[in-house]
Amino acid sequence: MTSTTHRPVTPAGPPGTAGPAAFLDLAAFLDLVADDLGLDFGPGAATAPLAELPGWDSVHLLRLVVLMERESGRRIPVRRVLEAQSLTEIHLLMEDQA
Amino acid sequence: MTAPGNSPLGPPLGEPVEVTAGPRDWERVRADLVAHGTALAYARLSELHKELPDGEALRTLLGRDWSRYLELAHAEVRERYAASRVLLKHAAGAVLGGDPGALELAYGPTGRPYLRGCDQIDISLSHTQDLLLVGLTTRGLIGVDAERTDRPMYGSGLGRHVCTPYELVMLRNLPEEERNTSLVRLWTLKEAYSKAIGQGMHFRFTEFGFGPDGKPVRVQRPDGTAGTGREWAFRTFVLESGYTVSTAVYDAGFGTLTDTEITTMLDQDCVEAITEALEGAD
Repeated sequence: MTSTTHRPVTPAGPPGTAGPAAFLDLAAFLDLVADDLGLDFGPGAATAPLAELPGWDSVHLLRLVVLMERESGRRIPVRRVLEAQSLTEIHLLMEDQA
Repeated sequence: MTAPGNSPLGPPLGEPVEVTAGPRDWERVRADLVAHGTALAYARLSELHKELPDGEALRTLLGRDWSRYLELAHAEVRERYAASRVLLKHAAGAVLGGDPGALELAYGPTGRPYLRGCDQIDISLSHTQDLLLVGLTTRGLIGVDAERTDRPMYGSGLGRHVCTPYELVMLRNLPEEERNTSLVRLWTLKEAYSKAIGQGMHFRFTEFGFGPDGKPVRVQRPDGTAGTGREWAFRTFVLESGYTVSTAVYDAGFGTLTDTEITTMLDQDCVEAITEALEGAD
């Protein structure tokens, strides 16, 4: 699997503004995850149960945690990621953390 | 990795047996179960797919899993789901001497599969890429896991989420070319153990560990001290097809059963209790 350079998950805000900008929108988040994990998400992937994503397994879940930590620069609560049922729920979790 | 057969490094356990969904190939699985109380069988998804029934025959074979099968939107996921359940039922049918279609798979609260009404045999299932793996035991509990031996894991940041501090040091001390395969081994052992205890990844992998390859394998605490006793047994195999396969077996002290036939495999305590009750009624 290849890893590519992505936009930061919480990119810096415009010059002169305080703090990071909003978290990536859902579509960009899905692109980021699919690119990094080397998976091909089809329609409906955002809300599908993780176990029903083609090629998905538990290694991918932990790789996703690593990816989010790397891109956001902060620790991600692994237990909450494990409890998430879909990529949309993980995206919401990341929005909460941003 | 540990050698197959009666290795001094682990419990007696036959090498995983390659099978198909049909009636062939199961003799060695049955023999392993009788000899060791545990058997491992695997199939290639691409091969198994060719032998899968369709339509009403598949519906009959899947039984209560049929509705779940229909719910799966993605064809690849649906195919793997059907193949894994069919393999599991054929494996159970082979060792129990029963019709696979008459066996019913049920699931515990964490998704752990079991054979309804046949609790003398415990089962576990794993799949990765083209491999489907089934573990069966009459000893107590079993968990199995498989992963590509060359799957890139070491150095990707996963170690901190997978390993105990002791394991991280152990991996760092290995020659560089051995670190990734060693982490894959640790991963499959952890998955197998957590499946056996029905926890999945909810039992954090950083809170329990395993020692280096080449020694008897025991669950360890994060600092590397012993965490479980001899009631747990672990083995890892590397298949020629490039998969690392691990199994965790909990021995509840039942011993091995020489008779696993579904029609005659009765719990002796239960038989005695019924006999006493019937005698008392006379």
